[in-house]
Amino acid sequence: MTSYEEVSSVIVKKQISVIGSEKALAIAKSVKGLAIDSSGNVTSASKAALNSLVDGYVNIAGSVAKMIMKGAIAPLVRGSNIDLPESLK
Amino acid sequence: MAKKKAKKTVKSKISVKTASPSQSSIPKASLRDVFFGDQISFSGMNFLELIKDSWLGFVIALILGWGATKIAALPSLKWLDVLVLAIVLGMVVRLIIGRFDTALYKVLPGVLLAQIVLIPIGIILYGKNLNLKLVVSTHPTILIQLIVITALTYVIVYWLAKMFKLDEKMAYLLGFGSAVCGASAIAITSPVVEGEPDDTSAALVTNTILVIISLLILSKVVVAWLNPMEYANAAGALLQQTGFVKTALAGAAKNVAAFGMAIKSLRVALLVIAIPAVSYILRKRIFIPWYLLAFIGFGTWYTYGTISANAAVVAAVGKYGTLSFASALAAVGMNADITKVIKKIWAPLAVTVIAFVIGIAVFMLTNMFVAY
Repeated sequence: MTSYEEVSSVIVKKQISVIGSEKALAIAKSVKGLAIDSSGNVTSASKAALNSLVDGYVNIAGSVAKMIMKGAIAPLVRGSNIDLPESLK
Repeated sequence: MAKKKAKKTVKSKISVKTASPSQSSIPKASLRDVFFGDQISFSGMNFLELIKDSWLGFVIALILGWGATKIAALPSLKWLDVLVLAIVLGMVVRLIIGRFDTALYKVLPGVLLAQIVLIPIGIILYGKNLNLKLVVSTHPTILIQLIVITALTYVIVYWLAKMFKLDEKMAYLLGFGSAVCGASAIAITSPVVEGEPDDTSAALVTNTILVIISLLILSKVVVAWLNPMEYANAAGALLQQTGFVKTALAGAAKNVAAFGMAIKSLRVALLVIAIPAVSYILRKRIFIPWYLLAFIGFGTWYTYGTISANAAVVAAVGKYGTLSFASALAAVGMNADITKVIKKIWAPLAVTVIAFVIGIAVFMLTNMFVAY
């Protein structure tokens, strides 16, 4: 089953390529309940933390950020029964 | 500000440990994944909200792209690549608005949307440079020499970049920029390798400094050992950025300039093989971006169809293709930090200059087997 760590990692890495590592990692590191290394690999996450991560990126890049994130995780979550936050559905 | 906002939105402090990434499996790739992969998703999108969020940044990117095409068309600046100029203009604008978080976040959605929408358009229309008739009509020895030089340049840049401890994505951007066709190759590769904005900008600036150095070496030193035909071949096979190739050919090889430009355009065709290969190495799965297929389709139609005989269509394809690419790269520049970009260019410059010098040596060695 796809995990919240995997989904969060994909989102952070995508955001690194979109807005740069400095901003993308700063936002991810500010999310409570999310543990992350300097390459954008998330080692601990939850549904709530994932939701906050998405909100963090939407706060700075609006609905475009949401489109990018939903696209980025699509290959990973297709066919998976992971319970995604509403913002990613 | 962003940090505060992100903190505010945390709704729960619960941290549930789930399976580690290595424990779970990625679903088998479907055809949709092969061609669209992790591209943007429009599902559930509110388009009014999207326009409201992004119109400002998008319009600024278009204005900068248009401005770059006008400036690069000035007679005294004909050598300057419009894409490089666009990214520099974008970085200058970012330097100003980057001081104010509110302004930066106001334009950021449009800056991202401009890249998402305009890069594929630019790539597809760039297919006009994919001259397939030329590929099949070129003497095999010239084609083989070109493939050897391009492949070796790519491998040497990648290997040197690793030695210089550069990031892998940066190594790919530099490799494509040096081996294939300069600024356009970097613009085409960037979304595939998912380079950071600072890296894409640094690769483009590096490529421009490299080509100035390369032009001097080629036109002042190497030219003495070659006849005009050989020199035109060398310029087409080794130099990047169309404007610089034209400048190199205008001197010692003006009578065979068309041959040199044809060699230069042949390098574009190599993107068709190189991009899926690199994409596979990075993603460990097959990903052939839909716009690469459209690029090949458009290139084939342009080569064998009748549209290239229509002057108005040719002019429109050139104009809107360049505008799309230039605006997209202005947007990349608006997302990059010029101070960091300047710090990032020196090691890549050393890598690419060394690779260029080795490229000259390979050209000289292989030149004896080429039939002109």
